[in-house]
Amino acid sequence: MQDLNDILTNIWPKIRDDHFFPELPTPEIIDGGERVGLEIKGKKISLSRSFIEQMSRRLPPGLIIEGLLDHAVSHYTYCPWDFYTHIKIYKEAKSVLENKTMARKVSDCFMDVVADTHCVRQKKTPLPEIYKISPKGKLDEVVCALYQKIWGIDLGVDKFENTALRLSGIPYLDRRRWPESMRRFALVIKELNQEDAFRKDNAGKEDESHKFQREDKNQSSLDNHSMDQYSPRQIEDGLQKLARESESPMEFNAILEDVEEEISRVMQTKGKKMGLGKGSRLDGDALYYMKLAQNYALHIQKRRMERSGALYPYNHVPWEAGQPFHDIDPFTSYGKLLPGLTKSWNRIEGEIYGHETGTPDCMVIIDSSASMVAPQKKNSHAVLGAACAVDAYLRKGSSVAVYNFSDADAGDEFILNYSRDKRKIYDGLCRYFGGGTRLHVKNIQAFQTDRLPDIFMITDMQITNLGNLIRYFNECENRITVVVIGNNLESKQFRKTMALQHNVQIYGVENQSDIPEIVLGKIREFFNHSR
Amino acid sequence: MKNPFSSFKKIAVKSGDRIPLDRYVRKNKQVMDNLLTQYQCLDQDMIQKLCRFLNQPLHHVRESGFHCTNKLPEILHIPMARAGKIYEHSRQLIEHITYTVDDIKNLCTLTGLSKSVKPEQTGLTGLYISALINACDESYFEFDFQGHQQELHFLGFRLESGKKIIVNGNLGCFAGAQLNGGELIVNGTLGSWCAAGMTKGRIKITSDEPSTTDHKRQRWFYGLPVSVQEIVR
Repeated sequence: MQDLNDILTNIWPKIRDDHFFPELPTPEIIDGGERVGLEIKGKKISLSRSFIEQMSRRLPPGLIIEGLLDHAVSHYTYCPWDFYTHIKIYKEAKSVLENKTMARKVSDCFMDVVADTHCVRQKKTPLPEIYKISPKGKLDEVVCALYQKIWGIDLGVDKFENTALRLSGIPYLDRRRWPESMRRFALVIKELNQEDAFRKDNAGKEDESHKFQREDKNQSSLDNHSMDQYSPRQIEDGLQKLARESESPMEFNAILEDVEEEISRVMQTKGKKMGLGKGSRLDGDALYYMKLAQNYALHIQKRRMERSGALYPYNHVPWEAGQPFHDIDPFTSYGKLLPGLTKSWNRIEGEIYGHETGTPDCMVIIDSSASMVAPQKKNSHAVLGAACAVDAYLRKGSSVAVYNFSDADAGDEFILNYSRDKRKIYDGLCRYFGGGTRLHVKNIQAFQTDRLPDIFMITDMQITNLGNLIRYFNECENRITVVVIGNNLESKQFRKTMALQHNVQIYGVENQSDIPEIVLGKIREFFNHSR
Repeated sequence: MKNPFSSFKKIAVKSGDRIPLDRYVRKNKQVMDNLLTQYQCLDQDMIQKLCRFLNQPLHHVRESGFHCTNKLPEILHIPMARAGKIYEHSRQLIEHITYTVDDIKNLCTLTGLSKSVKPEQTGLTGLYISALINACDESYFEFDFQGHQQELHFLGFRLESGKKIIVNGNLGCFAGAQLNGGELIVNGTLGSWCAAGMTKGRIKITSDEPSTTDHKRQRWFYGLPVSVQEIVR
């Protein structure tokens, strides 16, 4: 038998030609993986030697390799294309099937149908031949029955005629309708599973959601659709979009938990933290707000100029008797020393590019008392607003300190010193105490440095020792941005007291969903004024 | 001299169906387009008025003194008459369309998943779907509304004898209104005015008993106390 590597080398250029030269490295044949025909990791396609050898008893190895490559390249060039599409398809399957294993299996199956059908429709491929001879579990039989129907090729399956008919009307090749198509596909499979469970009810109770999984576990499949095939960049972008589309952190977490293991593996092997510590669990809430905040990127003007303290000659003024001689400009005075005729230099203080040309550090003070929304349960716009500010400061290279408080006297406070560690900062923001509201001003004072960090505070102002805070803010020279949630008596009092303080900007928010927009615009305005 | 473009091949664009899938999808799309076109022919003014009633403040529900097992309160006479007109009109519009149970399910999926569509546009799809169900030859309908963006109002409107609807997921207002002998089983939560004007039939709520105080209060608010798990007339 010809060496498999030689066959692969001969076939690969043809596959590239057929699929319009995708940007993929040359595939390789690896040992092991008897039940999975191929694997894709970081764009690299690996074909299983034992799978090909097993299948080559009934089909020439060249055709098997060509079919496997067609399948793999179709996944890369058409469906799922990227991590976000993959997770979106999985999310729809999960919403119908409610079981992780089952949803994973059915969404993988759907992506196979799309990729294979795209391939069969576009070019001549040996994929039908492979499906004809491959061993089949129940779900594979359903899919092959569907293929028979929609490809018009006999694959030797004579069951599931009705199911295939129901599945055949789904527009698999309409990319825009994939979420809806996935849902329809999952509904049919779910009903089929339930019917089967009903029929077998007399044979004893069993977990019906695992039925397909159990029956198919000994069968071979073409690939394993692992999430670790995507690059860290794609994963970050996908999570950002997923956070934007999720109604609540809980919804985001439900999906993240299912794929956590695989994506952590990718991020850790690539040395990226993504706000996640090495070896630690992904904190879904922190990640949700981190990714959501990235959708509202703020622009912060750097502090441009500072007074140098030195005087320099600015313009000429007539010299008068009694004024110092050393400022006289002999060139414009025509060599005369007469009051009114002689010109002397008027000196003003210079502005230079000082040491602090960047954005100052920021201390974020966030209220997590019972009157605030718990960020784990609902979309907390207070945390989101703080996250937007944090994201902006970190992007500008500054450090952020966090003071998260509820009833500080009872120990309900979280203090994080200036840091650029995203994981720690977002963990600090998402910490929810849900108790009373009292802060320790001395702990805020401890964050002060010579470089006058900016202060960003989000609260509903129902603070029992508000007077202390007001006194402290009156003494501060820092630029202070306060976002007040709700319109209560305390907030009115705070506004009134701070009205004359030019370095304090207060933004009232009635509706919490307005926070990101208001913070975005006002912060820019605030920084522009400070030029 | 060699033609530098000789490697380029002429590819004839194939017209028609390349694989049978194209035919199936086109056929399916045709049915869906027909159903949606007919839905858009409904009296939009009437739909707007009914939608406005559905969007009214919740305290109106409690003030009306509505209870799912009692007679129809006066406040509902006009909305029910409007719903009846829309339903009758729907029946006329779909008279000549051939469709299957799957087409009804697909219509639900299509409207339920659209985030961008305004509730005014899809708010009364439930009435239209109820008309489709009653006009369909099949008698058993199972819907899965979990994960849907919008809740269907008026599902099971005038459901006739011999028809059975099972819903996995939440329903909006007027579930099983004017039920006419059919059976509606809901495994999820219900909105206000459930079983309003029901003449005969059965509505069963098979979801877990409300555990939170909020949910219990909501059920009481809607005139559907926690103790009521089944309404039979």
